[in-house]
Amino acid sequence: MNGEESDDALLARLAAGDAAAARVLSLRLAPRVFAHAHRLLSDRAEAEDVTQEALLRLWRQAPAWRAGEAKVRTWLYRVTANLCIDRLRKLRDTGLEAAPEIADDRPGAAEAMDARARASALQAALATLPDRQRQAVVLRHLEGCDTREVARIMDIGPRAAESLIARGRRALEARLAGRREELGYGED
Amino acid sequence: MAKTERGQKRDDPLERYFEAGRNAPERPDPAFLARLAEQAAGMAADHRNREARPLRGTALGQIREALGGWPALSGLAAAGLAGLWIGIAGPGPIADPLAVLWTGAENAAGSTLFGTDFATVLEEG
Repeated sequence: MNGEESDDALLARLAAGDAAAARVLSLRLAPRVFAHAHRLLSDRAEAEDVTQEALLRLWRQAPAWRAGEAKVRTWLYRVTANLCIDRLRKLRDTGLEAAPEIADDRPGAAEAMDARARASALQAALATLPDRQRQAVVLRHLEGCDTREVARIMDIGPRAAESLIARGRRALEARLAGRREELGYGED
Repeated sequence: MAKTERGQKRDDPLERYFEAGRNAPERPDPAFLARLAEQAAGMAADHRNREARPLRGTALGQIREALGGWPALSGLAAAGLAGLWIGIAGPGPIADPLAVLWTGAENAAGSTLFGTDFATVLEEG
């Protein structure tokens, strides 16, 4: 343990009215929630709205939170993903789905090899996946959750989670196959 | 032989993309983060205030609040006591209320309007 106060402990202090603990917890969790929401939505403004809503729900929940029963991180990933999926559905229903914000206008060759270009290519490919596949792949490979945690967050069985991850990966490989040369991978 | 996780990752054609994605998460605006932190502090203050008013959360406290607080409750109690006293004291029987009203109406019709006999005014048109 690195001496850092746990999320549970800070949340309990927030529930008891400790404003300083609330600020610390917010500054710790908000970037993670925002990054996760952006990976699912590919839109900064929407990701900000989702981050604010997810954290507000956690703060409201704080007095009833039972430490040890659920991990704050798991709870937040679940709420964030649900909010994101709701938004994506609404955007699709209204035909206003945002085009992914991808900083992908860089010239090819050497510059395209940098990590930012790879990250952008990945984000663009992720945006084309079905919502649940995208969520599963993001949780497993970008947020670092193991398959059991992915299943818990998505409220499905471990086999279903594995299946979603595998299908998502296959789709990603197909989408990114055409870009390997461009991104400097070739046949390595 | 089963490959180690590191070996699997090395052979994974997607791993470089994932690594790039992990290392370059989208970062929120600092002003947005500051706003969220203040919002969290505000929620903490709300929780503290709620704790300072323990009755508010109980069923009795909620009923009291719904009725309008202590002033409304004391009025209600006074009215209740008055009703109880009337019930116990049992005032004597009163005359037939309709008869009283009827007599009152006859008297009113026969009375003068601004000092003039009302019936006379009607007859004269």
